[in-house]
Amino acid sequence: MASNLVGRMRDGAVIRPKRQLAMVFDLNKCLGCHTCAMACKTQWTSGEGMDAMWWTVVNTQPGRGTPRDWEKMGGGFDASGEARSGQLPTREDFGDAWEFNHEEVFQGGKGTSVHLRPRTNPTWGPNWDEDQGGGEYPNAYYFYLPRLCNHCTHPACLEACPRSAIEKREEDGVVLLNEDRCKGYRFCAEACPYKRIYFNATRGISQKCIFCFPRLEKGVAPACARQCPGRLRFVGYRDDPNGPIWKLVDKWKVALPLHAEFGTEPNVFYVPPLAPPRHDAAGRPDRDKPRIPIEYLRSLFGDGVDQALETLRAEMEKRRRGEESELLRTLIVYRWPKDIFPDFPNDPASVEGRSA
Amino acid sequence: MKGEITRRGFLGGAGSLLALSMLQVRCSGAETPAAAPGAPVTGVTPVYGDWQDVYRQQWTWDKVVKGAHHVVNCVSACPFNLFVKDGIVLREEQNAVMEANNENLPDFNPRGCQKGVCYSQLMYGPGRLRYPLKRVGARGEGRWKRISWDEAIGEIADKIVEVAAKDGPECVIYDSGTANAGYGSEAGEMRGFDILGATQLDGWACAGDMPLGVIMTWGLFNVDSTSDDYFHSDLVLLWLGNPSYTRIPDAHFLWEARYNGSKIVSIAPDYNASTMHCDDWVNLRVGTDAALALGMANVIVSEKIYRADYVKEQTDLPLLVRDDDGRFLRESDVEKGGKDNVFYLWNLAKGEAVPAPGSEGLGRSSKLALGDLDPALDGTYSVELADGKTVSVRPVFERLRERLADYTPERAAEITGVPAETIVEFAREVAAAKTVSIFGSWGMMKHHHSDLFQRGMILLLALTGNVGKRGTGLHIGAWYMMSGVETILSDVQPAWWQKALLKVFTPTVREWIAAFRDYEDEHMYMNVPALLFLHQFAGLGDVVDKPEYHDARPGKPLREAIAEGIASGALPMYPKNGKQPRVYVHTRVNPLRRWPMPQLAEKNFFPKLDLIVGVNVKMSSTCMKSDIVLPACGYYERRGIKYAQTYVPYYVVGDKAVEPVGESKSEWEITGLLLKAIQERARTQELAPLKDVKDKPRDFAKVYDRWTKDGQFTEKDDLTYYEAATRSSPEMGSIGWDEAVAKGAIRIQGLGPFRTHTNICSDYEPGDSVYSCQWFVQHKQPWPTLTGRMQFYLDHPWFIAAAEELPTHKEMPKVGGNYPLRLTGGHTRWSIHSSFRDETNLNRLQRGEPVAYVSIADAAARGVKDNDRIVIFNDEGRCELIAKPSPSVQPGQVIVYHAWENFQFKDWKSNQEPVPSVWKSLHMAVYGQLHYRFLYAGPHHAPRGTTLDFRLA
Amino acid sequence: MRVRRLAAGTADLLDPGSSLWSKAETGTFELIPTPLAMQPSAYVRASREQRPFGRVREVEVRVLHDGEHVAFLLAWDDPDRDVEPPGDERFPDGAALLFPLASDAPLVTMGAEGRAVNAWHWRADRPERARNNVAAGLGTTRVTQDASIATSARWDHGRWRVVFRRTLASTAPAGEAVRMKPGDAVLVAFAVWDGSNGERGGLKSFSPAWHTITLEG
Repeated sequence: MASNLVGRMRDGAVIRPKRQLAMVFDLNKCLGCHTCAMACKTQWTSGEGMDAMWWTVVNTQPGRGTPRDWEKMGGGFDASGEARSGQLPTREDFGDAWEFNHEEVFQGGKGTSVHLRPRTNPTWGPNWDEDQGGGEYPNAYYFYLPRLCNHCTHPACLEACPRSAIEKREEDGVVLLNEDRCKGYRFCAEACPYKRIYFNATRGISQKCIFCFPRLEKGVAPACARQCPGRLRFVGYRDDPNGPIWKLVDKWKVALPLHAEFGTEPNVFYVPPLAPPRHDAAGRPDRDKPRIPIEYLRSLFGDGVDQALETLRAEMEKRRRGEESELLRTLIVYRWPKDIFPDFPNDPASVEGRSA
Repeated sequence: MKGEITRRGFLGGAGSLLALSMLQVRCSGAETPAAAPGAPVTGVTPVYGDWQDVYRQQWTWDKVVKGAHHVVNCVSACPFNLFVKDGIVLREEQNAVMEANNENLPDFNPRGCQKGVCYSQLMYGPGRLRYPLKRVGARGEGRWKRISWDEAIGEIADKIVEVAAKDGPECVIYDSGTANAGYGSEAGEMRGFDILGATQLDGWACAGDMPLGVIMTWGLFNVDSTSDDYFHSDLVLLWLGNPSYTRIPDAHFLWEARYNGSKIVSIAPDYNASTMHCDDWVNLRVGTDAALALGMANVIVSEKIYRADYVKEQTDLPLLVRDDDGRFLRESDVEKGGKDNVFYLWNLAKGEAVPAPGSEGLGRSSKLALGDLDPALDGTYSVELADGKTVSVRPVFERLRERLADYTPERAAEITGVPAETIVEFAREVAAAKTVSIFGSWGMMKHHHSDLFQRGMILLLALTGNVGKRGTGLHIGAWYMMSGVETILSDVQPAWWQKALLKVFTPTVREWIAAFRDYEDEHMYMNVPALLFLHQFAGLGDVVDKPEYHDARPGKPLREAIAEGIASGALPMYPKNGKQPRVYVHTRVNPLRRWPMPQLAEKNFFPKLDLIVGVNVKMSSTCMKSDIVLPACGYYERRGIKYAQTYVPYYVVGDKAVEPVGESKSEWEITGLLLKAIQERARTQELAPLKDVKDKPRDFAKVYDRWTKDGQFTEKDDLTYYEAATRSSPEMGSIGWDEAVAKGAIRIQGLGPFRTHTNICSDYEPGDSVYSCQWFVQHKQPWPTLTGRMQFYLDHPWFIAAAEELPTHKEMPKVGGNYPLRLTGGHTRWSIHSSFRDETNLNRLQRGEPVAYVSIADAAARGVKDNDRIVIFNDEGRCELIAKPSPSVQPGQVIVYHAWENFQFKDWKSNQEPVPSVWKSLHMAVYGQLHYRFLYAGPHHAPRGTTLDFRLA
Repeated sequence: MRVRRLAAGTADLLDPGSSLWSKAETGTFELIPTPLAMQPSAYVRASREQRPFGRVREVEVRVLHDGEHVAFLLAWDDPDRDVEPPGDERFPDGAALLFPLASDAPLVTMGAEGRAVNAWHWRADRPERARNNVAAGLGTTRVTQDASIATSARWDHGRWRVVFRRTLASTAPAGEAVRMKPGDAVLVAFAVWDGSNGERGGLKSFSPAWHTITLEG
């Protein structure tokens, strides 16, 4: 069995880590550029059997997401804390790693009779419904939702594994899947309500975000956060009153968990999206009606979203009047990296690169 | 190793090495025994302690090298760290060391995007060119033979010498588009072909990035600020720009400025990735941007909320125009022997017409400051001409008011689809804001009537005093100059007295421009605007000259305008006198991807050519149709200086991190080898000096010596060049190359001298943002226009005939035929032009094939569902794409983001096939600031707004 | 069940179609799904309430030895031949033989601390050999390096026939593999996984009691 019980329900209470690392994503700064996804890809998921893995992805919302229709796949815990049955997403649901016919096109001697395309006819991909969104023109709307393992306080994956191969670290709450213990049963992937666990068919094991623990060990922020040009991925300890996470989640309450009703107490929080006002039938801005239906945002971020948006709007009004706002100063990130991941400010170029 | 190359030969090498090294660290496979907790591990001891060590091991490297994605291909200057292991760039990550301009502005870290962070994958990817290739099948068949560099260079040199000797050096066509312009190795290449006297295609005139309205109004090519300048803007208009897509490293400044109190408004037909972060969205109809600007100007003028003092000083609106012929009142009208470039305003203080400060003819001492002058903006005045007649004159402002009467909010609403109330409120907001800037970028240059869009936008800024101050102005793009590059590469060095003079004498912008025009005329005259070349040699003229593709009042039929321009020499066109292009060398560009209707060039231009040579890092659609393909080094395999855009107050340089992949070579070396081979052949053949198009001698027996500056550089030694170029660039701090690449990002110490493409026109003020046009607005230096002012009135007869003498709105012509939909687009988020279009992982984050975003209504009407294959078509061409219907798309609009490779389309028929890209005859006019020059004005690419329809494939 | 000793070639012993098997005694064993309550994770217990597993309810067993090798032929009905490696929601069919390594090793919990069991685990996606596993309680199964369990499998007309063959003796470290010799009475149990029913890990059917087989001397 795993050496600690952190993350497990015992006697009606979840055993918590000493400290919890968390992330806050400000959706009002996200560009949808997927630099996070690509940084993670080149950092960790280039190995064998990992082609189709995108430990962090960016979904256009509303949309079916990654994997396809993941929100309807179950998992997590019900209101009484009982594990909910979940569906195992397929490779196709995640979006396969399509192979392309570069060689055939470039040197196959077939001229224009062949063109570069996936060798299969894909029906889904990790970013398939990019920029399509919902609503009706001109009241269309969409926004970007970067997603990754939530390093939950009560990880459904951890509880589900019959081999205790998933551990939540006592010192920082990072949830790691022990790849040596894993036998590829994928109960974790069924149980994870966020569907952020992939299966490595070559190695017969499940794999997921490791919160860049080798980087953390050297004081370097995770690749997805440090390489994010939109500067929207805050990283830090939940309980640090001087850090951005506590300020945004606990003090200002503008950063909310995604699908809290899944019952796993996720540790990734989102500053919900603002949007330009709707247009009325005459094409005039109707500032009383939000472009993004509030019910939709509540379905993602819970009822706290109303207040979070109100707080944001009120602070922005204040700032327009020339007043100071601690909240907005925090969201702006005047000094990167210390304002965005204060505990992990190191430049990777300055750490020892050779293996011990 | 010769003969037909094998798949392995083409693909092998570093790509497999990379995969291997990945495998080596991934030793902990399913076969590794797993210990039960507490039980000792038995069996084979793994190389690494446990699975966590495998990940730790994966994040190790031998060295970190400063890298950059240099040359102009991408406009963002992003310094990178390259993590090198076993001679391979394993990974790259932003070199995030750039400091903020001051404590109230955010810093510039981390600059980069999803393309930049995976360049190493492209570098070792399946499209990477590794060896010189020679076609063995028909052009485009895709059958290649690997040849040696000696063979390749020899064959090219033979053909160039033969063609130059027989037909003239201008029959060799060199094309680096805009993609290979830069301050490093690539600058050596451009110089090499210049020495040969080859025709150089001016790709700027084909990129669709030409701000003709800006040139008409300001005489400037491009302007921009550092990206933190948005923090000084109370109101930012994202007008035909989508910075979340196209300015990924800079966009955060906009969204952060919004948190800081700036209001941001998106003006775009579609709800896009930038609109989502804006405070308001003005969803005008495609192509009606000028009408929106003029509707707003109408409000500002009629409500008298314009800045009269600013307008009188900075614009031509007080200049007097004759009622009889609609031309400016000139000194030559009122004085015998007077100049025709001195203009007048009506001085209310004295009740007389006086020469307007800034007029070109008043010389360098004339400043824009009005002093005691009180120019009239209204009224009709009578002026006595030199011949004794009197003529009634009115300020331009009066005429503008008349013009604006056509654009009442109600009328503008009809045209744009934006409610009149919105136009009124929006106009008042623009007038009331302390500082307004427009993010326009190159997206506002790709419509047929983009010039009118820009003139309208600048009118708004000018009426409200929003140019030339922090937080204002038009954001397009500007560059920091490196004077060392010029010093080292130029054949003409300033004399000692010129250098001495420059220390005490600062030339005006006009004087700089004039000096460079002279230099160009003397030394750089082999440029031909690419579209004009295609008009002449590819049969594009048969399409773009069609009168139905032009406005009913074109000012001048395009064919006549071109013929006149060529005849007068205003439009350079080589080869001429019946000579034909015979050799075409394209370097790092992808013309068949970019050119409008590339099927015409393939049909009409390529067959004229004895030899087509492609120099590229990776296989491109154009390389596929070439005869010899030479592999160029990727960014990390050679030294480089990033073309220095002003978004950051830093120069970005990159060192050589690893050896070139395969046998690839830098452009510097390739050029040197080619010139050396040409020189050898010329000497062996005892070739007499050839004559170029201006009958100047081009001695092929000396071209290499000239290129090396008699041995100062060699093709193997570019370090001498880089060292000298950085040392002699005081704006970079005159540091040496080693110091530069130790940092990767070097803080600017100045903005460099004015050059025709470095149009900041402001002093460097450390400790705050860089912004543009300060010299004119704050220092009162005349603008580099004929009138010396922001010029909204162009009294060229073609403009008057076209009713475009003032800003106006015109409906888009139906270029493509009578079809109901309009093609729009933009730079894609997923590639830098076509460079990353076939990268595997990036494609996996898309649909793997070219897509078109279409509206829900248009898709439904045609029975098209998501992911259906559709054909878009018009009278000129067609192509097949995958449909993505979205409610974000305006009905009537079809969005195809650009730069898919032709080889990604069925039958290689790309989205450019239905795009004739018809340009306006007015752009061929010669008038003061408006005229063709290299990388300046001229015919330009206008793909947006093409009419078409689509149906299920 | 008596295990006959025959002089046979090792190849014949590994062949599920060999006529040798007609000489062996046949035992038919009832299989039951592993009890839900015994599943080591609450998720598995909760999620399988409505998703029945342990679909294979009977296995036919024949065992032979030649004095040096022992061979087990397991046969059971399974309409789907699931031989693809794990992927998507796909799991391969499988079968296992279980032997106690301590006389009082509990079967239902896959052994217990200090009372391990030895499992020979065959999976249809790697048909050539079985993995040698040791377990000392639910969720503790680990693969050892011993790879000397040859297997051979045939699926025909909806029925798997799988042979496991190993030397009676074993060179594996003590406590990792069962050891047998002629004349021994050996306890054994059986488990079967139906891949297309999502069976893997503890989701399987098994013979709920140890059965004794006696090797002819």
